[in-house]
Amino acid sequence: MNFKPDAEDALFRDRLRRIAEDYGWPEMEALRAEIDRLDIERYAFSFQQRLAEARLIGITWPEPFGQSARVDQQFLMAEELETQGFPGYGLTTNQRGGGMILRNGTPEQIAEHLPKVVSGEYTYCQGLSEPGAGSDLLALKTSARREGDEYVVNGAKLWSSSAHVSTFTSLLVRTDPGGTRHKGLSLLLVPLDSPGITIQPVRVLGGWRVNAVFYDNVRVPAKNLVGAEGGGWAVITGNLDEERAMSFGGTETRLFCARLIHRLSGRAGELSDSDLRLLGHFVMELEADRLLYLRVGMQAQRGEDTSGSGPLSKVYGSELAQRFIEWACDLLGAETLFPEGDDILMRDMEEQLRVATVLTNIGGTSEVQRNIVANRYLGLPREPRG
Amino acid sequence: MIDERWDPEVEEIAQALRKLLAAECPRDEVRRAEEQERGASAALMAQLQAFGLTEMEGSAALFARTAFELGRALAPCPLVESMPVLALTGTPGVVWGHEGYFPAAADSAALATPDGLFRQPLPGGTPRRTTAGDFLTRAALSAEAVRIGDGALADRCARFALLTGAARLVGAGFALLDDTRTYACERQQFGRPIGAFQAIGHRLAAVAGDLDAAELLIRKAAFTAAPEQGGDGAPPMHFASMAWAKAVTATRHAATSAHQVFGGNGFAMDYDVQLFSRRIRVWAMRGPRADALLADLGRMVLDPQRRDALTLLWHHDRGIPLPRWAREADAVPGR
Repeated sequence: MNFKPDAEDALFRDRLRRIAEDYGWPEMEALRAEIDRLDIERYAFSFQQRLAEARLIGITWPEPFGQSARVDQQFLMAEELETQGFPGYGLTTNQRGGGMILRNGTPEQIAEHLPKVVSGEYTYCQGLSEPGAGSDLLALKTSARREGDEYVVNGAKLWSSSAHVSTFTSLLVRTDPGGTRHKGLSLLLVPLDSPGITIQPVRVLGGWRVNAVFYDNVRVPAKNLVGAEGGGWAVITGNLDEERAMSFGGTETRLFCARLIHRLSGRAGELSDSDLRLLGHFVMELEADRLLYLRVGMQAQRGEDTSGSGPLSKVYGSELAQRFIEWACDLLGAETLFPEGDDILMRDMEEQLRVATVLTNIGGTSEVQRNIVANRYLGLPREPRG
Repeated sequence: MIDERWDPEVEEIAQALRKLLAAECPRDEVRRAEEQERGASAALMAQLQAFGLTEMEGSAALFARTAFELGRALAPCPLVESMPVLALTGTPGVVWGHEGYFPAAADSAALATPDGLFRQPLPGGTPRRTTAGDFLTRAALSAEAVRIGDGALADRCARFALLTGAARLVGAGFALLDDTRTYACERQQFGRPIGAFQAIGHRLAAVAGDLDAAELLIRKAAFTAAPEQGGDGAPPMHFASMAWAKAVTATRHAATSAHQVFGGNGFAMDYDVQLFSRRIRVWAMRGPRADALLADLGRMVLDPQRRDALTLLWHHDRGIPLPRWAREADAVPGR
């Protein structure tokens, strides 16, 4: 049993720490301005490029693309990214795209894409949910019809984060019109500058845009099929398991809690017993959340099944993030009411109060996650489908 | 390399103990012990003594993992209460506590006071039966008390007791979750197992999250107790407090949920839910109030000196440092 990383465990984390030291408030303010310009959730190209230059993208992938790093090494690096307050969404979404190709792609796809993922040239988003297929993802209707060496895609996708700045979307489509549920689905890598694609912004509470993406007779080369035709569900479930193993709120909340603690440092006498208890409670819960999250990383490193423990960690962290920020804003009072203001901590708290509302939805709602925990982790029977 | 699992040698002993307890401490034995004069099973105690538990030496992790198994089996003997003194002084059979109630089945106690740790025989008299079905006897510092250690040792015992007490609670919580899960798979209502209803599944998923979190906190608290991690054989106060507080809330959650899932059967004395539910509530109440410990943790992190002395909290080696940009941005309120 060991909870303290040694130098080898922390190799990539420490590389990131050195980068972080370059960012004082003016540099962070510039990063935030870039994120605002891109109109996107926690994604700055300049920082993504900085990671690429430091060879910190896809570190777990085998050489020559990655560095054959262990999952726990990546865990510590990702944790550092979030707890230092850097925009980490670009890294995770692009690594997810690259990882999917590495697991399922043809040698030609791997040779084309992977070098360009690690260099920061190719970027990816997901095309999964649809207006009529949210939690019930398998109800999706977007279709792809084979015509010679191409697929012709028609349909619409919703909640496509970063589609307006990505090179490709990993598009889940129905290639067998007679197939139902997971049968007859396929995964296509679709260049987002293809004719027939329309990307429309959907403004969300966090302050950025996600996208609705419409496909009108979009022609996609058949060589962009990832995995077998009709095998799209197997391809995408690997992505979903990876996504559920991410931290959704708990890790970033540690930074908010640390900033709150420093702001209130030496002022315990001004807090009620109730608030002191709640502060201790959140310090404890954030430790517990980290351990649940860390366990998923260690299990993945050992090749163990994380399909139950990942969702369990996701629910725990995302709901904790919401409870914390509601309490913290209550505690800090009126200045957290305003998106604009001179006090950066208050402004950030106000933003997080909005951002946190989505954490229990993105990556699958808490209700869906609890279904998975009940079925896969506890072995309870599934609810019969109507 | 980071590894959140118990060390193999600790796990091996725990699994051997689990096997012994499965044979020697079935639920009927727990029920029988409640009818004994001092609420303990002498036969089980003899078996555990032969196993080596009463004179065990080892790390805080070994004691915590062992306490988990004793809790899981609801072992009716005062072993978990004697662990702090055994682990930290090597003296067997002495239950630890502050002035107040001690397990009546023990012969002697170590009383923690601000002046140090005092050992004395437990008074005779009529023990009182608790809600949990065990028996306690009241003790205050007496003329017979012998000082066996200073205030620092008393403090270490207190922190160690939080760890092993938490482990016992969480062991019981997991056993109860197992029982509840099995029942939810077998019990049919409205033509299907009740575990197929989301109302049941979601409730138990939440319990599983709480218990897993509590158990992982116990592991890390035990890890921080090791001298090579800067510990003094017992976890530092912030980890002892977190382990105990989470164990209390998680196991109360498990107990309440078990009663709900079992429905009316959960309240029937013939079912085992009550065996766990009563003990979880009593064991939690015999320790310090979780709310008070958490409030002190809140004070701890707001005191710069105490905060900077914290070890291994979250992902930090020491203290709760801020990134450079946040130190600059947050330094002057109203900037």
